Amino acid sequence: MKKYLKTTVVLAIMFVMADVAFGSVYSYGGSESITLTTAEWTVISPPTKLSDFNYTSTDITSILAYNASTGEFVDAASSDLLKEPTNAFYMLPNTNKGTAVSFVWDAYTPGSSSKELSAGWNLIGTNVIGEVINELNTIQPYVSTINVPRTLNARKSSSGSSWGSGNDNQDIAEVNWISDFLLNPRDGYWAYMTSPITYTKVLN
Amino acid sequence: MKIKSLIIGIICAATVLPVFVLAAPPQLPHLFYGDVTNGGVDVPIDTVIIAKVDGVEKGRITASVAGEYGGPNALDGKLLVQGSLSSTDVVKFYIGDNVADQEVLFSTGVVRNLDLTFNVPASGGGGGGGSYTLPAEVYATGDMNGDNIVNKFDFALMMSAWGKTGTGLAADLNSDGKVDKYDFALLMLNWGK
Repeated sequence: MKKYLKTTVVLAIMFVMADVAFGSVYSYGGSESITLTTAEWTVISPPTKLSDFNYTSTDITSILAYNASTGEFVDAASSDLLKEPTNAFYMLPNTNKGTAVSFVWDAYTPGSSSKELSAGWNLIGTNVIGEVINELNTIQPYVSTINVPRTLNARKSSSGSSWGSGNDNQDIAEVNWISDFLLNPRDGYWAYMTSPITYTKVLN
Repeated sequence: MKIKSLIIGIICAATVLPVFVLAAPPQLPHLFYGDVTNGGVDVPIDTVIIAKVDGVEKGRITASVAGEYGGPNALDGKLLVQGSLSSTDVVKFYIGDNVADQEVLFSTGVVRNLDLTFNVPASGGGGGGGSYTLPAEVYATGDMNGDNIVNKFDFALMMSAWGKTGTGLAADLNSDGKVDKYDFALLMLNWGK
């Protein structure tokens, strides 16, 4: 009985360690914050499926998502669009004093996040860092162009937690589709689609 | 042989490399919020303010608070003026067919606190200085959102105001201070006009 208990404990520890070693940080509940240092538009995409995207409404002037099917920006301040990593949105702080926004996620079993893309321009994001050609491999035949919005995203601090405080173009490039360009969670991108398709990212 | 290689090369390149699209991503709207009055009096809740460029609608917002459209914070909403516009385009603001005193040049990504003033003669013989009432033609037709037709959208506005009491209610078509079955009857009389 004692031996059986010991074996069970060892197995449990091994299981937890394996999950920590190979699983994503998002497999567990948690949160992270970024600080928007200047009152300029920036483009944000949730790094994973969120339970909450927190901000102080009085510190933010506007949050806009883009409805590709109508070709219009829409007010998205209280929308669930702010919680899906396949989405991205524009955000405008109203102060240069530093505005914190935070991503909060619950522990969850592996799943997916999807977004219906329309022909034309779409605002998208990704949940893991990777080369654009890999991250968008499921929709690559339909992607004509990837455009990186040149907003606060281009001037992150080295830690990535402070946006607008770093050197210009520090870790993001204003380029169209190139194979070794890295997509980053939290950044949003414009994708020009030649036809409608569902964009899905597996969450892990 | 060279031509064959060239053709194969072009096909391979076209397969591997996506076509470069010259068109730029959509530009951000010009965003507006502020006070909105007619003859110095706050316009009522549910008043629709429409932004137009060269007579073509480029955005609209419904006042959720009397005398205000949108607000300075994220959750307040804004009037988004958007589309294929340039910095030389003049944006004008309307309630129904009535244009505001203010007009501005389009500027992408700019958020502006712009108070709008209208000087539409009050209906019902109230003259100036009284409480604000919607333009006569709006009352006559039930076209509460000012899109020149009485339809399901006006019906929706009436339903959202159903049972409300007070003065200056857009859906109070007979001006008896309450949105009720008599206003609904007026709406039906003018349906489709």
